[in-house]
Amino acid sequence: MHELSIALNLLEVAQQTMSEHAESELVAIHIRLGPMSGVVREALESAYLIAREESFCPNAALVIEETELMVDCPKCGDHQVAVSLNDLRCRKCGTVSGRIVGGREMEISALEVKDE
Amino acid sequence: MTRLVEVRTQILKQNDVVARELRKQFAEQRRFVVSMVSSPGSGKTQLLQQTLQLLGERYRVAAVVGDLATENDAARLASSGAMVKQITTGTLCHLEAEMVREAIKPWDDIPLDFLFIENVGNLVCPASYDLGENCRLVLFSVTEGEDKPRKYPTIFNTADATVITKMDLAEAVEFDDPAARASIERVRPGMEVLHVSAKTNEGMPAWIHWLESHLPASIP
Ligand SMILES: Nc1nc2c(ncn2[C@@H]2O[C@H](COP(=O)(O)OP(=O)(O)O)[C@@H](O)[C@H]2O)c(=O)[nH]1
Ligand SMILES: [Mg+2]
Ligand SMILES: [Zn+2]
Repeated sequence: MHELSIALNLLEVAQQTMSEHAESELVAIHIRLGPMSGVVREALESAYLIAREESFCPNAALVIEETELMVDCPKCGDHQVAVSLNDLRCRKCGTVSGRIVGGREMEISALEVKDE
Repeated sequence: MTRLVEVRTQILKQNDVVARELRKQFAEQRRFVVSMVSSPGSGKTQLLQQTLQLLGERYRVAAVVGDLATENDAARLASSGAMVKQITTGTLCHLEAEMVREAIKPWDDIPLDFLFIENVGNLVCPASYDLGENCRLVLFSVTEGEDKPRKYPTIFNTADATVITKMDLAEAVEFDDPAARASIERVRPGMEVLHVSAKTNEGMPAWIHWLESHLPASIP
């Protein structure tokens, strides 16, 4: 379980970004999470609730957007959805594709702040 | 009323920055840095011990080994005569780039051909952390089942090569090599696969040769 350290990192990066943008009140952190990020959504959600208590934003929500696993298919072209995490073939035509072009995301996409 | 401030920041930005710096440093030092991940007990320390011994005859080698609590692995590895450092991670189930950087600081000015990093025995958490290594190996033993790669696709996908260990037990457990390769092929098409036994030395010459072929000096 490394989701607690991920949650702590997340809060630290959010805090930095808040001060860089001179924002004062954080309402929610929006993140993008890929199936191949190595992070389990539910585990991160629980870890986040624990981590935020002692943080600069004990009330900020976590909004997770899950991305899809995308591969570069030699037949159908770039950005095709893969069959699954443990079967990286192109969902459309079944061709084996080694190149993942989406699905590893573990990033903050936006900070939702109070607008006064 | 709320408003969205759009950003695009990696959550593990800090680790990524350190890993990038380490990778640059390794290139300047002309070191080949190999990390090893596997479940606990797959044979990382055993393989490493023999590897340090075999390579130690002709190269400058060193190893760092991560473990939750004990220093046993470091003691086992030090018996090969190589330089060894233990990183005790406590409750942390993976190594991070900063821990590696701290651990290898004393060797910064020492010429090294190979540096090995044994990660904490875990096939989940290490997947998210770049350590600056040139090559990440994932190990699994013939006793763990041929479908291990499909059960842990993320770590297999982030690896550069697979080492199947304990080949001396393959027959006894009716290990199905084509099935194992097919499982790897599903999660990391085209990945190289090596087979070794640290007990009988099967595959060890090929493994050593594979390592040597990746030395910066042998790459044109
Ligand atoms: N039969 C056999 N046993 C092995 C081999 N390599 C390691 N082992 C045994 O497997 C156990 C775990 O090995 P270890 O190297 O500590 O695994 P680690 O947790 O991945 O570092 C030990 O009891 C080893 O003696 C091998 O090639 N063949
Ligand atoms: Mg070990
Ligand atoms: Zn296709």
